[in-house]
Amino acid sequence: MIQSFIKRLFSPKSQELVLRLSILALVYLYAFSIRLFSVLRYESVIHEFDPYFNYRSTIKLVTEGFHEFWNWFDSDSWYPLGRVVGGTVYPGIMITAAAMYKVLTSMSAWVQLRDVCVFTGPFFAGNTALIAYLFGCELKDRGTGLVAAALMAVVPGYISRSVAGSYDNEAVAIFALLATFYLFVRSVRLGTVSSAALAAFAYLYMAASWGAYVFISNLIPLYVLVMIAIRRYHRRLYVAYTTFWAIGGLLAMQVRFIGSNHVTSHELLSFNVVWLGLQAWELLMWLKARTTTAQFARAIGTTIITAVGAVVGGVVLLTLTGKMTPWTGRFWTLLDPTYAKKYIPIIASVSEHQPTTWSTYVFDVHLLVFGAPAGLYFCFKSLRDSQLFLITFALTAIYFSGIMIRLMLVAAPAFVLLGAIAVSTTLYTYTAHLWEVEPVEGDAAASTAAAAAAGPTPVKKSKSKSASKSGGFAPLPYRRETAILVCALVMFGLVSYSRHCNWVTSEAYSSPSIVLISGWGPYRMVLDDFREAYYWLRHNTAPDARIMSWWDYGYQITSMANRTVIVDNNTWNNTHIATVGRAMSSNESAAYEIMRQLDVDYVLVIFGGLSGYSSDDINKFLWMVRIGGGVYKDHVQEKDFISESGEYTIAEGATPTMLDSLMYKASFYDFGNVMTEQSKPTGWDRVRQKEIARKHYELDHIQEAFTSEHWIVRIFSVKDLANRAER
Amino acid sequence: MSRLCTVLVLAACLVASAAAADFVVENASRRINLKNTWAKAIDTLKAKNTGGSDLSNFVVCYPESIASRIAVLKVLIKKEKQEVAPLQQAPQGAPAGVSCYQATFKSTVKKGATVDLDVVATVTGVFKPNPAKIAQGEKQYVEYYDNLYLLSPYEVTEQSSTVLLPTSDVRSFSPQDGGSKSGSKVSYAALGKQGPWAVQQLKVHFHHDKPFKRVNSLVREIEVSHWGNIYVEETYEIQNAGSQHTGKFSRLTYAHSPDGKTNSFPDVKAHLPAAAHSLYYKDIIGNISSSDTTHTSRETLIEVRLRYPLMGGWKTDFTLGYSVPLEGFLYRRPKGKLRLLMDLSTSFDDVWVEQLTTRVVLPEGAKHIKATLPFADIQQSWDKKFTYLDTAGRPVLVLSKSNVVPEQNKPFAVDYSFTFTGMMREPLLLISVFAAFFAAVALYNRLDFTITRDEKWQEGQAHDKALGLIQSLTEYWDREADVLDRLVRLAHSISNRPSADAAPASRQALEAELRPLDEQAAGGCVSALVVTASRQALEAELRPLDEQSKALLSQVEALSPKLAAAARNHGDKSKVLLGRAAKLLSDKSDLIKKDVAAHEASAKLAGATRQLEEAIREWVDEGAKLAQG
Repeated sequence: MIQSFIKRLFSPKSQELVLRLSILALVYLYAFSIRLFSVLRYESVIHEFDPYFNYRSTIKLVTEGFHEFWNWFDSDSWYPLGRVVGGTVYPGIMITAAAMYKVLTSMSAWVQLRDVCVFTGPFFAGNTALIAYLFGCELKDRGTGLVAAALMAVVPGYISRSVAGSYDNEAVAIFALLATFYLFVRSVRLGTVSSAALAAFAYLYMAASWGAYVFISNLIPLYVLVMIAIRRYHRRLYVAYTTFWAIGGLLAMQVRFIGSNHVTSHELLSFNVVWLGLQAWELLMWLKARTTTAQFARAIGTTIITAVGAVVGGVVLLTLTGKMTPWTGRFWTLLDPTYAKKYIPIIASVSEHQPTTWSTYVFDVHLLVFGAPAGLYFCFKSLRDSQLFLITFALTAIYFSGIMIRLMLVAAPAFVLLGAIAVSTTLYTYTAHLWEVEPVEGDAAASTAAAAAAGPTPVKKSKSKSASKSGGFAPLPYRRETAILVCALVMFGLVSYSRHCNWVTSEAYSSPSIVLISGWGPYRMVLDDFREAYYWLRHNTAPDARIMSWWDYGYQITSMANRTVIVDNNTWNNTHIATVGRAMSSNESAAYEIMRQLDVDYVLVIFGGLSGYSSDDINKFLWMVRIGGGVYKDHVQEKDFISESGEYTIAEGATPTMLDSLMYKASFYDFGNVMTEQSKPTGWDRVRQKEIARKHYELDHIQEAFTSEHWIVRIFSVKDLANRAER
Repeated sequence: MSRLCTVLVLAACLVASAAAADFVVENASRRINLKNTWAKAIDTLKAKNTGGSDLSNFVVCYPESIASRIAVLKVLIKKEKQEVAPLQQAPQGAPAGVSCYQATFKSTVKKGATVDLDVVATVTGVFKPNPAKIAQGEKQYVEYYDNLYLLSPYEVTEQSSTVLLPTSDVRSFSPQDGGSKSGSKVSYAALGKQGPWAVQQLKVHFHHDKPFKRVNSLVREIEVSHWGNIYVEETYEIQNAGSQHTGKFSRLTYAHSPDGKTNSFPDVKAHLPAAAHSLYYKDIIGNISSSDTTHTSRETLIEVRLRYPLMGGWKTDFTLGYSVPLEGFLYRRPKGKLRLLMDLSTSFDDVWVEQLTTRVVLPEGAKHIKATLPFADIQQSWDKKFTYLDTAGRPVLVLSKSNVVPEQNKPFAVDYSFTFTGMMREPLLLISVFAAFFAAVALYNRLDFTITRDEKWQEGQAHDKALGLIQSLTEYWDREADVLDRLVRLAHSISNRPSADAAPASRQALEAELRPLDEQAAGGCVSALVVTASRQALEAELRPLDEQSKALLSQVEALSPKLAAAARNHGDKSKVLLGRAAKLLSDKSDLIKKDVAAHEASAKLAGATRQLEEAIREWVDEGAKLAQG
């Protein structure tokens, strides 16, 4: 009994299973732990901007329940408009974190919601690695799956949005994206309704999590079209697609933010039209089986023309009557990279919407830049349905990643899967030669001894001779050596990939950006100014105080300071943002008018001149001018802020409009009396490396209410109207 | 209990009113110390029993505005504390707005005897800022109101009052008559004889240079784990209770100007136990990155820097947590009882606490809980807390008290009983949950949820079983592969002997190569005889295995003829391969025997060798495939 058990335990099959499971477990651990740099180096805290909104919504969801969250009208943002959060949010990540929190607390774990949110990213990274494993198995074999899981676990392109604390939609969305693709590919292979329904549920999760669900619902029809074009269309594909369309579409419409857009939006037109097309195709096939060739030929022409005409006409008519919504700006930007710059400055002003540079590719996917073309080659070589899907996915994703840095995130899994195929195929090919016994060892040794001086050529000759003597297809010489070399190269590549990923994660992607640390050991400097100021707002201003700041800080203020903001990162109302931009770029009295109208109590600006923090408001100011000028053309003009020499400056030569603007006056108030660097004059701006032009001035309508320790956050209170002049 | 109290108090009132005239205070000296951020009034009295009997009660009174803010009231006779209880009703003849307390002496005062009393009252929050709002850098002035005379139901023969101030900057004091100011002191030396209930308002308006650190609320949670730790977490809301800051707050002035920081404080200092470890300092938006700790043998000093400096009226909150070991805080008592000894309040300097709540979380299963408290006015209640692996919840003793000053940070004790089984409850729970999980999985794997058991299913079952058998067959095949491999290597090794004579240099290299080979072959000089012998030995090794494999094969046959055929075919192939290997060996031996040069012999047989090796490799691959089904 025991013997047979032990025998079983050591049989190749169980050993393979144990090995595979332990590799997967290690991959999972690796994926989780590589994302903990930020927690170890800083603390367990939510990062950056958008995650703060997600965190705040999760608190709402947990404390007040799903119903309240679903119908949430947030009056703390976009004053005085407010925001219908329930209807304008992708609730996937919040529901996920809230569910995890509830499960943990129901198991009597004493966890804080913040910690659950912080670790959602790493947790889902592990899950994504597992999905990559399954996808790899589906694409080729288990070996590929394991490589894919390992590569996926640490690919920096994904780490950038899933480190601990980066509580953002993308952290779960990439998991949902890969899961949808994997399940769809699987359902195409199986051709069963149940498998397609499963894929549809994964699609629901994706649709509930991230706006890029549109990518799925365009990629899958594209894949169907490609399959038809290369004559690989089969009934299993039909079953998979139509089921996915029906269930997936219905499910996605349950997300309030999507709703009927799933049918009426042009962004999902291909999803619906391809479904129609497939029905027509099947109808034709059905007719064909029941008619003679001549009848069929007669019928087909007219049918196709009427059908296409009806669809095109219908779409145009519905669009013109406003029943269908045309493509949005963000979508146009994807097709035409220059679109945003021309028409929507607010999209172009976001750094993650900039075009990607080549170095970003090496930075974000490293080895896989070279692995992907090889992977594509191998895919084309043995073109399975699943591999064709990968090709379609990879080509489109890589194209989109070139347009916006942000979409690197979607391309990363494609790179990973292609790279995994390349690496595993190469390893399979060459490891087979590794254990080969060299047949002519003794011979070779003898000849080396005999002809030590003659060099390696004769040995080669004798070898090839013996090979030719034995007849048949002669294997290449030095097979084992080549195999060792190639394997060593691949190993080297993988090791350097892993080292690169560690380095990138620790250096580039693990900073929470609300607390800044510079230096090491005793020279460590902590700049915790953001939280200092937000916490001051939270405790020392009226509970209904309204804060005006540039939209970047909106989410952080509502979440950390618990105060009402005028605009925030949701950017749904361009005019409102432009109004704030106009206020910031007007002179004090004009700004005062606007602030009075908006009931502003405090103005908050970010200022890096003293500390050297470079992403401050003065550096963003030109975007405020542009966005403000985009709406209020008569009041704000970019040229007023550009000096005669054509540069944007706050130093000598700055324009009077610039020096009078609220932004300048708020940022540099009192700064003229400060010595920032030795041997430099007072008022030396350490970010711009210039001496400011206007130094000693007083403020008329606002007054300094709080400035953080290193002056990064400056808050000014808006004064009441002055009393009538005294007699 | 409370009813009994009321009765007692009412009784006391009656006694007090009766006794009101029985003492005469011969000399009263009042010292009101306002140097700190709270007031401390010390009345030194000499009282004579002029009544007709021995007395053991003495009544002290304060204006309502002060009485409502008294944190500590002590009546001392020769530094010995006497019992003090508030009177529900002021004695007869008292003016409105007066609250009184009654001290009960431990030993009675004899008729006609005198007694020396010290009455000490610590009063918080009685400074009234005037002006109420000041700008940054301005001086903070506050007003203090009290009764100039000793407020007493007794006649006072002689008295004096002194007010000690933090600075000499006094705007005004009243009454002016009889008072004099010297330095930071305002004194009324000879106030003369006064009857009972002498009232005159004393008001001092002066510059107070200390920031008023008020903790609005403090929640302390002390959680005991019998696995070796006591967790303490303190959540504070702290406010600058001085004059309100108004106008702008200039960071420049704050940082660079000498009086920019007046009337504000950036930090508070706490003295934690020396054994404190795992400190943390945070608030609801994360860690507060600025704090400093110093460990000494006596204490752990932590300087808690607040997120921002607190100007007048500003407030903030934070949480400070630390752990201490059980040693020194938890003691074993007779009869298996335990006693927890912890401090009641905060260990921060210079702060007073408006509302203190101390929660003592005892381990799940603690029973017979009883607290011994240092103050009578602490309220007790009960709560439950659920943390890791709790099923019934941990009992929480909630102690609350208002208006606490640092001198009241006294230890309190909680006695309870807790057994070893209670301690093992959670690990056992964990073990059983995991065991149940594994058992469920094991069970699930052994159950069959197939609905239909058709031929296909049976075939699958048989196939699985056959595969299991083939797994055992592979062991035999592995041995065979090993033997084949060794035979081929043996063939290689023979070639080397003659070449050794020809080239001594290469011989050494080859000998080195030979060493790791089979013992039979590595005898140094390899003869054909030895080869044959070793070959026979190798083949003999296989014989018993052969028998076993046949038995196994017949079992497979019964389950899956297809698999059995494949396995048998595989086995037959191995026989052929063995034959070929043997032939190779003998060919080579023959050649060597004919004194053919080794390399020539090898060259002649190279083709055959290569083919054999390829065949072996293929055969091994095939075996692996078979084993995986």
